[in-house]
Amino acid sequence: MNTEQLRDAARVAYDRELAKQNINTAIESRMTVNYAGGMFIVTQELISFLHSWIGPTWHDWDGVIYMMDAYDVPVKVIPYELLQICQRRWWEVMNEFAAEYEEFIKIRNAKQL
Amino acid sequence: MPNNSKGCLIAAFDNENHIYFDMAVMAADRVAKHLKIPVTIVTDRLEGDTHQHKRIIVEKPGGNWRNDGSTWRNLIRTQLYDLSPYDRTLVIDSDYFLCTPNLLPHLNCSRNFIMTKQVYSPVNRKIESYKLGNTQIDMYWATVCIFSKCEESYSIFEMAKHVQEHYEYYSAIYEYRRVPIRNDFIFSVALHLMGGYGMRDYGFKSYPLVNCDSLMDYDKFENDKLVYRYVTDKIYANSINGIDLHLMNKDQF
Repeated sequence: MNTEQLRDAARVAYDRELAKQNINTAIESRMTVNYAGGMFIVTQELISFLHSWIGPTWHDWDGVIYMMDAYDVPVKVIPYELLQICQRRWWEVMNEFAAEYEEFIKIRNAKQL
Repeated sequence: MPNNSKGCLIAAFDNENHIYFDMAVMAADRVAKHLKIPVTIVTDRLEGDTHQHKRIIVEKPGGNWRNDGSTWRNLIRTQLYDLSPYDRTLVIDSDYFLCTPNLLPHLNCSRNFIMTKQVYSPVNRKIESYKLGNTQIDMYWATVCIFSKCEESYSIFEMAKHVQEHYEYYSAIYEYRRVPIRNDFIFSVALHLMGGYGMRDYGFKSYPLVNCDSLMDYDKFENDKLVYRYVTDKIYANSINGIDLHLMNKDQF
């Protein structure tokens, strides 16, 4: 880098909050799963809701319920099955997020981008 | 035509300033990489390497004035229902670059017609939905659309053709700008009419359109990561990755 380029780089600011929002938006877009022809957005609420149907021990209740998917289409759901899918996706995406967050906190200025 | 076939259509018609065909091939490569579905490019170009992607040759659509002084050949979107060889079709603009498989759950769901409505700006960090014209109906972005071959989608495309044909009339009714003719406006009006005057939401859920527009200068785009600059109170730089990008500044490729 010559002096002019260094001066130019020093002038450029870095908005950490925006960077964080960029990561959050990307993560939220990944939190979707397909099940029985429907699409569900994986949230803590959905995971808790599905858990509430299963009972304290895994497999206590293996019945079927109807749920609206993200596009308001009713879908026949076996809570245990959908829960497993949601948990897997949550685990994948949040692990990725944690790894990305580790990189993100190291960036202190625009030159490091 | 195979049953339950899924695929992507990208329309590309070059003009004086931009070679849309090459952009479409780049975008198609990314669709094949991330979604692993076949891609068909709708174009008037007989020559040019499409890589492994198929091509449908059609006549160049009529010109449309654009504020950069070039002719915009965008008016084929309403015919894509008839042209699509797939049962379930993803339609994207040639400047829409997939960086993730995030569209797959939407492609695999049972909703007949979905179009992008929410927009994320990597400059002002907001997810917003826009309103169209003075009548303030929901604005949809025709940049990304998924439809199944069915009665509902057929009706929407037929309505869109009608709105396109009578664009001046609808621009007066809905009070939006008459030029240039935009597919976003055509489909916004068609979806407003077909959805019981705005009662039905056809927007993607949890999939905002990331518009990298003229407020941004692209520094580099490597490994699905875009580093960009923008000016608000001062010059800023930032990056975005792990999300599909609408790279609207074609001059910066």
